[in-house]
Parts: sequence; C-alpha cells; structure tokens
Amino acid sequence: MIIKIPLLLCIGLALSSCFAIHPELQNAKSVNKGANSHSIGVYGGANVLVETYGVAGVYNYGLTDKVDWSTDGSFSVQASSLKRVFQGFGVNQYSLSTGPKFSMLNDHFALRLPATITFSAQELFLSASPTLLWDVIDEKTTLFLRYNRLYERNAIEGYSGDLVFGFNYFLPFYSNQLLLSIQSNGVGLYGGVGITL
Amino acid sequence: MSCDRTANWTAIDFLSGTWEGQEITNYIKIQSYPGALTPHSTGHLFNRIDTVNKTSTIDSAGVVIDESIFVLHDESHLTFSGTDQTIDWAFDTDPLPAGLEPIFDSLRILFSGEQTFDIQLLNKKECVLYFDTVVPVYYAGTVVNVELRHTQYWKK
Repeated sequence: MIIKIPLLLCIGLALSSCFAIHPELQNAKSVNKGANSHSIGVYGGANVLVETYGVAGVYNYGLTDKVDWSTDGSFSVQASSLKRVFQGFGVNQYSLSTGPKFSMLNDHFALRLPATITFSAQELFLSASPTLLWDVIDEKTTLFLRYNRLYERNAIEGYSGDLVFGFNYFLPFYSNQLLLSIQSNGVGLYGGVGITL
Repeated sequence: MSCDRTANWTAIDFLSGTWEGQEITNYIKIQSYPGALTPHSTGHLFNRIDTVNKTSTIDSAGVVIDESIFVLHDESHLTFSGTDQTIDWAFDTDPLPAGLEPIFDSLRILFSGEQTFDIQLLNKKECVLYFDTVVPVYYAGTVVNVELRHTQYWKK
C-alpha cells in the first residue's frame, strides 16, 4: 500500500490536466437585481500531451444587487492539432457549471460556488468549482482562481481535481466588451477571446 | 492507379499495399478519472500489408522494426498477432512519467498478443483501425483497471 500511493499519485499527476481549461469570461462585479449579463468566447491551448480547442459561455442573473446566479458552459475537443479535430480524431468534452456568485468589497471581489457536471469520453464527472474573481486596475483586468474538485472518490488517491489560475483583460475598445483571457493549470497554457453582452 | 476500379473491391483488396503512417492516438483512462489522450505522429512509418501471406511489416526509415501476421475476419474486423516491438511504435511513452511503467508493462503484453481491431475506415487512400479494451494493471498486490482506446490512422 505504501508503494502503491506514489504510483497512483504519479498517475494522477499525469492525468490531472485532462479536464478542459475554459476561461471565466466575466469579472467580479455582480449585475443588478433582476438584470442579466452574458458572455461568449473561443479558446485554445496545449499541455504536454495534446492541444485543446473550445467554445465557452457564461450567463449571470441578478438575484440581489450583490448575488448573481451564475451559469457557464463549455465544449472543447482535445487532439494533436486543429486539423485532427476536424478529421474526428479528438476527444470531446462538455461541461456545465451553475451556482451563486457573491460579490463583495464594492464589487471588486467575488466568490462563485458552482456545481459542475462534465461529460467526457462517455463518462460523467461531478465536481464543485469554487472560484475567486478579483477585479484590479480599474476593473480592466480580472484575476481568477478556480478549483475543480471532483465529487467522487476513486482508486487514485493522489488526484482530486485541477487548480486553474488566470486573468481576463478587457480590451480598451468596443465599449470594453471584448476580453482577452489567459489561464493555466500549471501543466498547460490556454488563451481565448470573448465578448460580454 | 487512378484508373483502378474499386467498385467490387473488398477489405482485403483495399488493405493490400504500402501504407504511410499518419498518427496514432492512445486514450488512457483510469477508473473514474478524466482520461489522457496521447497522440503521436507516425509519419516516419510505413506498413507494408501483404495480403497473400497475411503479413504486416512496419518499416521506419528503411529499417524493419516489426512484423506480424493478421487475419481478416470480415469487412470490419481484423486481428493482428503482434510482437514485443509493437508497443514501441504503437504507444508513445515519452511524454508520460516513468511512474506509469507498470501500465506500459501490461500494455506490452496486450500489444504482443492477438488484438482485434475495428476497421473504422478503409478505402483506397485511408485506413483507420481502432480497438478499445480494459487492461488490468497489477501493482503491489492490487489491480487498477486502465481503459485503452487505440486508433491508428494510415494513408496511401
């Protein structure tokens, strides 16, 4: 058993980057009560094994002036190249997260507490994805930190989820609605562009 | 070649000849964990299929690195009897940590045995072979089930 754990930890680390790393596509600020906002974007990136290409979107509805119900979804394909994606050699992954988003400290800081369901390679994964959002530089940039914690315990004790960190930079044209997003899980690097509506 | 009539060709006719490797993907997945797709280019490989003697010869830069025999069961199923060398070109272990060696040891047994492939695509120019299986990996007295989805893509 003592020998087994390092092996399984090693396996876990090798596979820990395999959830798609989608951007957050939002800032910390909440919408007003009854109002809503949404964003869509495309992203891509790579880790040591594969490239990933995907689309993502997020929808926020204001439950109160400080609390939103936040839902995001993404679809991605992992493959060796974009050409192979179109040839059908990739592995598809779908994810949907939904839960409250609490904005605080004059809307500069927010905590999302969504539940996430991910469908990949004919298997469902349930997880919690607590996410911190922090607006800096006059709200032109949002830093985020997301931990996707798998719900189910399983054979590999060394793996429980992915920690993703990144930022959004709201480009200074088109009414600051265009954003550039960069994120990483420490193994791969991913980036995308989006638009908030 | 462009004038060949293929209307009456069967799988054995399409298989015959020299195929140039494109890519092999191995998707490995371990009990309730997200899987890892490990694609690798096989552009340096040629697979000479001799349908008379039912042999497959893998050639890399003019050097024969593997030979196996095959049985075509029907138009969509093909069994190769592999060798110890098969895993070396069919599974790229380079990007994966050495700690996964017990998995590779189990896969080596799999690849050197008889493995039946689904013929997902076979025509005059392209061939896609696929199999999936669950491999029990033994370690420290316990078994970890590793699912493998293996796809080979060849072109003429």
